[in-house]
Amino acid sequence: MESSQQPYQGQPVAARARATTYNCMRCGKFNELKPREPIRCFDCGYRILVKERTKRMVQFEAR
Amino acid sequence: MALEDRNRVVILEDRVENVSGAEFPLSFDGQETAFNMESFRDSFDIKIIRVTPTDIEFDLIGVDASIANALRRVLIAEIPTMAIEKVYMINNTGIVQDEVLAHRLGLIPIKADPSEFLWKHDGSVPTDQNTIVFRLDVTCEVNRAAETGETDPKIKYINSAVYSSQLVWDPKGDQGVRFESNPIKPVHDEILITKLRPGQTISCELHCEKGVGKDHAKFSPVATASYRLLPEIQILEDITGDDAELFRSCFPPGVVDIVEERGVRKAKVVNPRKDTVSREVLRHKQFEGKVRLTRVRNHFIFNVESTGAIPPETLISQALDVLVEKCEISKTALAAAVKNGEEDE
Amino acid sequence: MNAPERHEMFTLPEGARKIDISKDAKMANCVKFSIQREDHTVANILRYKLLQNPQVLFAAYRMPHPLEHHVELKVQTTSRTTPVDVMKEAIELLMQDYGNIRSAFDNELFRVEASGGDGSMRATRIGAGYGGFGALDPTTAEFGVAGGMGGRGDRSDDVDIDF
Repeated sequence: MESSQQPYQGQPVAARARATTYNCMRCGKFNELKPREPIRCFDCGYRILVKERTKRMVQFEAR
Repeated sequence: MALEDRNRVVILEDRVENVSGAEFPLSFDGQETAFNMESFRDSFDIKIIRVTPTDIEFDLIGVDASIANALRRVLIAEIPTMAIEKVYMINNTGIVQDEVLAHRLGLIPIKADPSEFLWKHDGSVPTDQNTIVFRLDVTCEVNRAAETGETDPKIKYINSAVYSSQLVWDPKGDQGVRFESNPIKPVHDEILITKLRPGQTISCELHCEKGVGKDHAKFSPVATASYRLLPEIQILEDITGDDAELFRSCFPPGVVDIVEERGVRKAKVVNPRKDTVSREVLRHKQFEGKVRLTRVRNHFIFNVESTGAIPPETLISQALDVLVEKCEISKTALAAAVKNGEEDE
Repeated sequence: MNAPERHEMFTLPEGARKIDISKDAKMANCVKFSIQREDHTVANILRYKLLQNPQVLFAAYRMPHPLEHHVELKVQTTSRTTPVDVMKEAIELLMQDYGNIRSAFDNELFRVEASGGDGSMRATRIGAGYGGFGALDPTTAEFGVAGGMGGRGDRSDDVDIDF
């Protein structure tokens, strides 16, 4: 099968890996931003975004 | 100390006298006050004044302070309950830090019968016999249905506040069957754990273990457990007329009543139990020498408020059982120690 | 960092006995009882009960250190008896005392429940009776948490009092 006939499979792997999820500080929307993209919420246009916390589990003693 | 005063703590305007008991042999000349079962049975009494689902008030009469105090100490520190002990934080982006959130979660009283569970020792693995699991997964979002311009965060956002009712019990093993009739949940549904704003999320797993209050206050089954001595107001000389009115106003309502005897209005103590022992009456010159405030040293008014995990009357029974058990342990230990001592010699 | 191990509050140290008896070399009929893993709760009632006995010349207790979980109880008696004997007697009397209070409380509760229909009194008691230290069930399912906490659990009885 020729490559031009392959269905679209999204962005190249390298570019997708570089896209990071940011959380809008105003509306709470999770935005996928790629490098060099303007730092701006797609929904509300707010310019303060924060990165997500790691999903690593941490154990605490409830004391 | 006069013999008739030996059961009274005397309250004077500037000090409290006769505080410690002296119910020991030879404390009073020629009086044998050694312990014997008959006199104990005669003077001993228990009266339950009030029982509600959370509170109990009862009088323990005719025992020494050490006996009553041991009961109070056991109620606070040695009756086991279940409480959240481990928090596995998978995600927390709220403003309350992980460890603070974990501490807050730990203090939530859990409605579970501790006798259904085993102790979890250091290093032992969590099983359905010693651990209860809860999950807390909440995310705050903007409420699309709210009108624009809405300012109340409760309407404007979804899950703006996280309450104890949002803890989800995750039955393990046969727990779902064992506790089918009485599902495990926090005692109160409306304990505010934390607040969130859109985009903030909490995801964690909570493990409850069995413990006692002396380890951590969260395990204590009582909110308060205290006793006070029964106040007593002795009227040494009749207080009549306007003085009687003043006398009555020196005490909380219901303590003193005014009765009419042969046309004379006279103050009469009707319910000293309600007295707060404020000593207001001792400030007035006209009552000097006419009134004496005391407390009955062997009459303990217990007030126990349960956190809700165990009903209050059960708490008292359990505490007494714990004390008997403690004595039992000491008894066996003493016998063993004596035996060992003989072997050493 | 320097916090004492939590289990120290409950478990006896290696090789220690629950009660240790040591005789006072300088005084006749005088003994010091060191009771491990107990506090004012037990020591104070024992002291009280011992002092009630006319044969006891001296009885007092102390907690040598607030972070160490043991108490010392010193007892001196007349020559007619021994400290160990009065101690046994005191423990026996305390058990009777609390047993009496327990049954008196149960009777009173029964009376109150029988008479009280005023709504504030509870008609039935929930979970009455103290199950003690857990009923054992050999069929125990294990479970882990995200992150893995596997392994076989020890299912030993949990009353860890060995003398």
